[in-house]
Amino acid sequence: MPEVVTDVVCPFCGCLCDDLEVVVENGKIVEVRNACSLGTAKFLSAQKEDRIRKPYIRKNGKFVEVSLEEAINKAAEILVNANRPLLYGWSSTECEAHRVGIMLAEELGAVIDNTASVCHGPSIIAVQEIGLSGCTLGQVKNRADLIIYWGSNPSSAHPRHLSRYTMFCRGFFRDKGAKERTLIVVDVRRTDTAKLADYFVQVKPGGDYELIQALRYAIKTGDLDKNEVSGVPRDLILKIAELMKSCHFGALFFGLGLTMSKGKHRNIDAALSLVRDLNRYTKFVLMPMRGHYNVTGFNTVSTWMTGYPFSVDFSRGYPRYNPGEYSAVDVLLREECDAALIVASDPVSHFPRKATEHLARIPLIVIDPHWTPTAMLADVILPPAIAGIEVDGTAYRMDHVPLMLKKVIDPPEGCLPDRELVKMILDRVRELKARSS
Amino acid sequence: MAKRELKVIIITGRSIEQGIAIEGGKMEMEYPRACGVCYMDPSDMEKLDLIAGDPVLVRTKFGEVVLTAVRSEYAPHEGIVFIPMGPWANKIIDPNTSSIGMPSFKGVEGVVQKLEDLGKRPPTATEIVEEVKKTEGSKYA
Repeated sequence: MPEVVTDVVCPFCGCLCDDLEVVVENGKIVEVRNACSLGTAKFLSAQKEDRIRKPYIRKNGKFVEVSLEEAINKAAEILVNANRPLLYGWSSTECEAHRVGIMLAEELGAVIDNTASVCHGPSIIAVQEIGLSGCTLGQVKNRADLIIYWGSNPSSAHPRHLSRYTMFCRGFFRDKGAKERTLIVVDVRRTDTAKLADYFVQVKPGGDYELIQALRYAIKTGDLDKNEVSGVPRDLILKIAELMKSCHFGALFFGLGLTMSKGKHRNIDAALSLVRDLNRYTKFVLMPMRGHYNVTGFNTVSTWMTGYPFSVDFSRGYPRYNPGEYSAVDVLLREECDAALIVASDPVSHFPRKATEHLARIPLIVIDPHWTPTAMLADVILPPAIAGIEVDGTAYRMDHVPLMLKKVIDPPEGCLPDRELVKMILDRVRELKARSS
Repeated sequence: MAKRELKVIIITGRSIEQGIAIEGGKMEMEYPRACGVCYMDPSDMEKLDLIAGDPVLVRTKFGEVVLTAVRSEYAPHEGIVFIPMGPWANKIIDPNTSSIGMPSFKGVEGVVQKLEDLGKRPPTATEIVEEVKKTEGSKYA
């Protein structure tokens, strides 16, 4: 008989939709209900052929299946013998693994960084400088009458964001749903999200900073002495400024269109300042559209444990923070690290080519459930159980609400949770260090 | 007469096909089909006399990559091409992190070139891994 597991939390994007129903028959997932196509793909991927099910060590250029003990021992040896190891990834695994990972970084005197540094790292830097007017997604659902997506296309990256939290949902004070809300989308392309908007603002690439400052000016003075800013006509800017000032509860969601474009963290500085200005007239909040389901979790755990959210260096025995210096891409571009442990991430696919090249030079340990370009370059591979599908754990939604991930099916035999694999490496590192001292 | 080359601004990011392909399909053909593509404005395709599915070479000062031209459904965005994030896009984006850790994945200036050899195709993920293995000083050399 098929079993239906209800209230499952989706481990794909920062929405962490918690209303999924997963149908399990004979220990296999046969159906995923309520999830978007991204979430469904993630659940079904657990059973795909390409799954890494055994530990491997590269010997004479070929992957050789070994015992878990041998793989852990080899990983610990690589890390102990390195002068400046890099521990990177972490955003697609549970908070309990983050905790052990940071303990390992401290033990090794390593650099530890998560995918935020190539995602919303600039947002975090800007929030540290300006501060954040934020809220939970529940408040947006119940109260917001003006929704703005800036440089973000949730129809591709967070497909259920509009229907669950912002536009097409009924809230306590918004019981008519979308009829009571206005949607503004600012993007360089007319995306599927933009096609749903009441107002689409097509900005030139790299023109976001200028447009935000023009909006701030228009909000303060009610006027604008330019006919066009960043490709956007004056009348539209004045209209958007008026809508922002006159709404009851506005929410600005922004994506990588701001953090990755010219200006980077300065774009977010400007957006945070815009929202600060708007709070003189009405209630306005801002939220980054976090990509990986638990990227927020790593930033939170790291802040508890080290005082800093990402890009942390333990080489002096105490944590230091400096994105641009201790961020993974920079450590690789400078060819500084001499070993790397990658957990639940694929930097060979997602880092600039020049940065990935250094990963081909150094000993590399990978903990990943699937064969990826990074796993193909590894010297040691450890097979994990997938958090949120095969093992429980804690994850933080994009609005910093922690949710418990559920175990839906058993992992393949021999696949252990990330937290256990990292703990085994940590224990072995401590043994090796004790022996050598 | 159609142009051979077109100056463009390159942006990269998530597409729904990319998000599905990365879940256990990275070493399969699903991945280059989802990410080894260049979404172009129809008017830009016309300038280069391209039809959907033609191979193009996208070049920046950081590298070059063969991609498949695809007609964008998010037009008009003349002069802007979109490449889904992945190892194909990352061959040509600007690695400079502006001292904050974030490379310029969006807004990179480049050139799209029409390829005469219609048999050219984007590299597979395996071929890209082999390229990375040939890096100077690589442990595989």
